[in-house]
Amino acid sequence: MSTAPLHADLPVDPADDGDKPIGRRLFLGLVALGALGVAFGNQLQQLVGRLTTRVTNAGGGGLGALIPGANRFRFYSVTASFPVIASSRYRLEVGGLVERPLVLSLDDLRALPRTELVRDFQCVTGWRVPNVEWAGVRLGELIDLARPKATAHAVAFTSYDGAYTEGLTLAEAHRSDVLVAYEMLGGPITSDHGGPVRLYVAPMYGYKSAKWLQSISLVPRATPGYWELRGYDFNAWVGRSNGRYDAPIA
Amino acid sequence: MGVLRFDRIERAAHWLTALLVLVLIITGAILYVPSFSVAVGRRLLIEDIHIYAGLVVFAPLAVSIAGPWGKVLRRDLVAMNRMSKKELAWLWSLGRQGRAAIGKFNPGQKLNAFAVGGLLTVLLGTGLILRWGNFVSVSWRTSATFVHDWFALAITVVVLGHVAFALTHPAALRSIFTGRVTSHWARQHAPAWVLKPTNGVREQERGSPGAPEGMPVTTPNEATDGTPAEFSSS
Repeated sequence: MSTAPLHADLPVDPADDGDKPIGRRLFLGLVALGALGVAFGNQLQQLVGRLTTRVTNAGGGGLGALIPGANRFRFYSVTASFPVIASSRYRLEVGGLVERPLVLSLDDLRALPRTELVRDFQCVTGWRVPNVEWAGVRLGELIDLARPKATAHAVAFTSYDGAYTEGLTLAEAHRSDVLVAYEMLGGPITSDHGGPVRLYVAPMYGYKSAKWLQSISLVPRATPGYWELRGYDFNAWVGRSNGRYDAPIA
Repeated sequence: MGVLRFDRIERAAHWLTALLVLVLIITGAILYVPSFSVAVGRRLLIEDIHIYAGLVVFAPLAVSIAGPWGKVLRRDLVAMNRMSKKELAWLWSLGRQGRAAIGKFNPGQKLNAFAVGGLLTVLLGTGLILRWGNFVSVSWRTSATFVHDWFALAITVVVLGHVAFALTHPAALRSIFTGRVTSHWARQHAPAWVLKPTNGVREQERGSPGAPEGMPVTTPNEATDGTPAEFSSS
């Protein structure tokens, strides 16, 4: 048994003094780092995004894309599973306040004038995939084919996932950089990216670009969609909404 | 023959926390890596599992240190917090110098414990912002996502390192299952814990041998007679 006296004033081994609370310092250091990250991570992530763009391809594939903050697509869905729709069975409805309701197959869409765009995809959570190739039909042309009534001032979208909704004003829907897209990243749109047909609203944050597009309805006035009911801005201009300052996409 | 290194409470706290962290890493990977997300699907279920596991990740530790049953754990945590210059020298030499200064936990183990604690705290905080942070700006939520992702990567690396060390040190690994190490192992790997301390005050503070639970087996003779029950061979 130790016979060392238990006195605080015991002479301390000079080589052994200076016990330091290293554990507490490490713990507090990490918490401080986390707090700093929450304060300035937004800018830091934009830096990481720029630096990693060269190691991630446009689809955001590869191991480099897994670096936190890297510019790559992240898969989001709001339902338990996402719809996988065969191209041959896909149908898009255009209805609501129109003279001529339409039900279009993928072939019908491909037969309409094709528009190609190369534009960034910017998510409201911060990531941005540069120079994505998109192809499809201009939403405005599709709407005009259905001949909207004078009472229609906005457009509402639904998704085949059964939950997602979005909307645009009629003026926004007629922009030349708003597509009903059937190709992205240089090929048919895969199911995880919202294929076979999704919306691509180039100048707005990604939540506008509804995946698994089911229907386009002309409505009297703009109504908030899924995320807009949960706090995001309806007018989702990149760099001018949601308290963000990203470079606009044009 | 053996020395008690972890009591029941410590083992339970360790394994419950380990289970929760494992669930968090697996569900987190599914949510984070697109090819895993697509392969697994069921995103809302995975999200729920991740969120609830995260909310209770500190519960095993909190319950374990809260009551009278947590005496040994509390003392070990206090000891793990502090490091002497000799232990720091051991750390900087990557374990090649100053083994005599090493107590029940070596400096690497001490760092691991507090690193995991700090990382988990930040992950919990940023996770709360991500899930319930509708009141903070989108910019803050973006930042919280960024921090959550990096800290998740960091804790995955730390946990993998921890597991790698465990698998390459079978005697130490066995003690988190059985609670015990052999007195030979203790003399080899934790000399300052089991050998006669040079400074009684310091050793008391570090939660090393004291009465009665921490009492080490110093010699085979002492160990065979009059040793408290928990130190007898199991």
